[in-house]
Amino acid sequence: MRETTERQWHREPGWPLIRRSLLRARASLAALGAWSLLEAVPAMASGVLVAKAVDEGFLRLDLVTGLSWLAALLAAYAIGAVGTRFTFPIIGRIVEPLRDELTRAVVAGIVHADGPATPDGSMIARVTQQVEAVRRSIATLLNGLRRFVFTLSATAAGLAALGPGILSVAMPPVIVSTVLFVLLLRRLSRRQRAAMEANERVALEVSEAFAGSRDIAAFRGQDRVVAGVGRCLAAERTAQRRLGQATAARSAVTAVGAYLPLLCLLLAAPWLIGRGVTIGAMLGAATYLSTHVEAAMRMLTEVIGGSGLQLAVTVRRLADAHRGVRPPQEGTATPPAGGEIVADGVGFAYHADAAPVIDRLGFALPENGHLAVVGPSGTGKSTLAALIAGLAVPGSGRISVGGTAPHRLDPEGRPSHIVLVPQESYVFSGTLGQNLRYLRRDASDRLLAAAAGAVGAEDLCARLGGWDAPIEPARLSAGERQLIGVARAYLSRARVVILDEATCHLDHLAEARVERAFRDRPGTLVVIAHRAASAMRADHILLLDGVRTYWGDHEQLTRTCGLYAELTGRPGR
Amino acid sequence: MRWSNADRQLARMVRVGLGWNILLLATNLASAVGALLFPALLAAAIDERLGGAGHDALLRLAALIAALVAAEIAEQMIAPWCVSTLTLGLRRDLLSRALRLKPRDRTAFSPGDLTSRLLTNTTETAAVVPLLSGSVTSLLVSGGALVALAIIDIRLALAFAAGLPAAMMVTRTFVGRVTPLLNSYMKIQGRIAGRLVEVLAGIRTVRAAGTERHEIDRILADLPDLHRAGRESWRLQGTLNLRAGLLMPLMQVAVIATAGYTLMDGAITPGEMTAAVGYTGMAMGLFSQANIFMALAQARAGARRVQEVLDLEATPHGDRELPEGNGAVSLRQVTVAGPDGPVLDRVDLHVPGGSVIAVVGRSGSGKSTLAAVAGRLTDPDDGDVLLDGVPIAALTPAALAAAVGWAFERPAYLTGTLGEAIGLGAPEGASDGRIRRAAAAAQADEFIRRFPRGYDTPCSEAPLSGGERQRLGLARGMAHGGRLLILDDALSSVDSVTELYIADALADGDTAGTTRIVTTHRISVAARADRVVWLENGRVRAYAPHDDLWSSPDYRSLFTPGEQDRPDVRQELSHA
Repeated sequence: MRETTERQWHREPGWPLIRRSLLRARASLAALGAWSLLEAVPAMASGVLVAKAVDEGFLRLDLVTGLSWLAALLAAYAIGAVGTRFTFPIIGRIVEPLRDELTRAVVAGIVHADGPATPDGSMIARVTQQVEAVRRSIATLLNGLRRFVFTLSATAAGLAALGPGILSVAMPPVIVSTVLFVLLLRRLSRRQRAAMEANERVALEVSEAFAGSRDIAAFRGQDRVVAGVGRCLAAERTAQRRLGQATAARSAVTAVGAYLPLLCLLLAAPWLIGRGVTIGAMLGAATYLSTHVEAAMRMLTEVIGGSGLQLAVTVRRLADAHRGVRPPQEGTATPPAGGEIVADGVGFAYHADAAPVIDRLGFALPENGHLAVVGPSGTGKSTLAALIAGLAVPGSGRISVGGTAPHRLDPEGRPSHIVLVPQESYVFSGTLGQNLRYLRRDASDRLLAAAAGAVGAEDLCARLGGWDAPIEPARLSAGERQLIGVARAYLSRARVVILDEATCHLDHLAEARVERAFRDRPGTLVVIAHRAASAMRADHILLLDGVRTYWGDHEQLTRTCGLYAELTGRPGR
Repeated sequence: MRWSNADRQLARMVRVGLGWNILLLATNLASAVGALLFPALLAAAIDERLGGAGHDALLRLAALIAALVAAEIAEQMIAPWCVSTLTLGLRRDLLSRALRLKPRDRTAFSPGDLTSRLLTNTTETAAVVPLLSGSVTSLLVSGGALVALAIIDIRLALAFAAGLPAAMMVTRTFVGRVTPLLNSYMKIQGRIAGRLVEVLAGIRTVRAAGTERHEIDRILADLPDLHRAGRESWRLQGTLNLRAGLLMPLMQVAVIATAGYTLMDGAITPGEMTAAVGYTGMAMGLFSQANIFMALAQARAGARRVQEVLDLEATPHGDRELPEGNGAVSLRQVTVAGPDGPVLDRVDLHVPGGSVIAVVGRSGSGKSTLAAVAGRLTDPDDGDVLLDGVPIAALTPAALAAAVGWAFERPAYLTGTLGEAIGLGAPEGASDGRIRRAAAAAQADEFIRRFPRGYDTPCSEAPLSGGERQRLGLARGMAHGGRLLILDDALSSVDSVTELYIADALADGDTAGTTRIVTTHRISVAARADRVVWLENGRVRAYAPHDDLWSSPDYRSLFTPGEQDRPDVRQELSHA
């Protein structure tokens, strides 16, 4: 079980996934073909039956025979309707599993995506609208394509049955039209994509402008913004016009397939009748060509030109958004022995040609040590936290926790050794107990209570209604969420805990209590400090100021580092 | 029926695009007439060719087909151009108005709401033009087809009409039964999306804990339900389609049988029989006429939502310019109403030009409103605001724009490149040097240069922390260079060290000669200001230097222990 789900996580939302899913559904596809055959019965029989009704019935003034052939026609339609009835659930059997897999792949891609994942509209749109667009367009394509193929072959069979020569007269234009259509597709799809992209640029610029309307009003930038967005709007109109032109060309091509066969048939009528084709057969052929072939040709353009292009564009975008996403690797390192943290010449840059955020950093924090990291924002404090937690890999040098490179640890086993508590605490819809046991599934209620008490969350827990009370994350304040976050970390088995501004929304007394609790807990503690007071509680202080780094205790840094003295001691005037 | 503004907007669409309309209607009518003629000409051609004599009718049929195709091509080129041109005009109007709304009207709409009005509703409104000519045409075609059946032989039309009521009912049940199923499907989808948002908000915790897979499973917990709902909707569609699939042929065969019967008594020709089959198909279009009313209702709803914004008044401006000055601000009996009583209550205040004023007070005491009123981001309900002696509401937009710069707690509209985002504050065409100097003063230069493309990095590709966004917003305000700079809690997320640097730059840098109004929770900011405005319940409780106010315990209590960073540090130091 674990094996199969594992493979699913590695799957990208793209054509290979769709292909595999359709391949798995081949039994259903075969069933769909069988029912389609039934569905095509009226297309095949209608012309022949009308011809019979006319030739053997009405033209011979034999009403009963005419009506019985028409009854047969009705029966053919009934068979077709039943065929249609059963194709729908089968399409569900093909499309719904595909949608499931696609949803899973897209969600996994978003969760595993690198970099700062801030929830934005485009991610939600991928999971809802875009997956939905794929589902709908595949269903429409399956429906349309099989109808096109089956109707056209059934009609061809019917035309052939009507009399010699009819097929060879009527079919060439259909073939020419289909070939031309395929040739046009590339341009059509390019323009469709261009129109969609233009529309998205408009959406992006407009939503930015409305979200920033206060600031635009403050700087009276309305004219500038309207002009800028206006250019985008005009570009979209141009894209629409070009798409309209391509669509018009497509219609012309379709018309060749829809109308020319009929004209050819009529032109050749005397010749055909001379070769023994009956009047009824001519009427039947006209019926085929004016109803079924025309409908099939229109379906082809609507289905492929519409849904097919939509599918192609959407799948490409889903795949693009997913590009570069690597699911976490299996860990290879041996679990850390102890909680000593050693950095040796560590450098890190977010991009190969960007200035490094951390450069040649070295320190050794002994087991059970308590380190505070201070410094202006943007000097790499959070990056250091990520490096220690194994979430980032040093570009140069090495960092080790208990003698092991943290990024090589098995991700799922990592919380037993290292826990990082970030500023934005993760609280999910579930019970309080589930939230607190996040890093230690087997923790007893007694342990929960002890942890909550240690970090000062007992009042909060009582107010929320105990361990089994469901939590609505949106109704908690930022500070309350942080309390849950630190209580959860306290509860874990990890020997190294990193608090990355994890208490910034708490007041200074509550923050001090949390830090004291972790200090008394066995293990190594790293605090990325939001307030200067955090530094004074630590045994070791690392000051990053962007250019240089300072290491020492409070006394040493007060003496040797001007910035530190200013930070902690400079009077507020 | 009284015409609403939405209807008027729709009528305006039809009027504005009159040329397009006529062209579109002409092509549509041509298609309709052509479509109606087609079975008749086809019948004539069949009869002619079966008779084996002549080809006039065939040529006429070929000409008609050519005309039909030409009309369709014209329609497909004209309709999108027409709709997108009308949409473009509507969108420009809407955007321009929405960005100039009075502040209270502006906050009544969420950005997402406005975006959907601009993206979707404008298109729906403009679509009324092809919709109207299209509906005229389709009614003409299906109604005309029924008439044509009657002309061929009245019995054909009667046979068709007999099936009408049943067909109508089938169409109705289809919509009625599928809709609730689709709603439940979308609701499940919404639950999945909601949990995804939740997980993304805590993604760093999830990554650190290595629980991504667990979370993916949690997000997708409802996937089986979604699957079931999806399968059910296909099954239902199959059942409903069966009914439609049986009924429509029944009507068609009824017409063919009638046609065969009339063929027997010689009332119609074999060609006319084919025509009858064709007309029956066209007359089936009568069932989809209900769609037109739905589309029209949608266009009206769209127009109403567009019009709701356009009907609102834009912020008015005067025509006065500013005299020379350094940004003296006077508030006279300024009152701003709020939902629960006044936010500002008859406030009198004079801020001398070139001075630094800190505005302090508890949350909800009116600090941000005071700042907004001082720079005319909001208009007071009563009272006057003067900038260097001129009523601020009488200024031209350009004069006001040149005079007041801003920085906010949550800066918005940081778009384009980082350099461009700062440039929104500066006069158009400001030099790179000016922007870089402002960025340096706001302590933003360093983190900006750390990005691979520096100032040319697009904001969307620059992961910024809250403090970095604030500093970018501050740089934007400092690049402005007007006589009044208003900082509304603009440093709240900046850490203590960085704040020290910024405070120095604000005091001694390029902005030194201008008036600065700073709302704040921080004691250090109040201490550095020339004077402090202490607001309480929308009124000025005191207006004096920080040192004079410090003796008041009420004043000291404004700065909660958690916010007293440095004094707190000093305290702990003295214990050490």
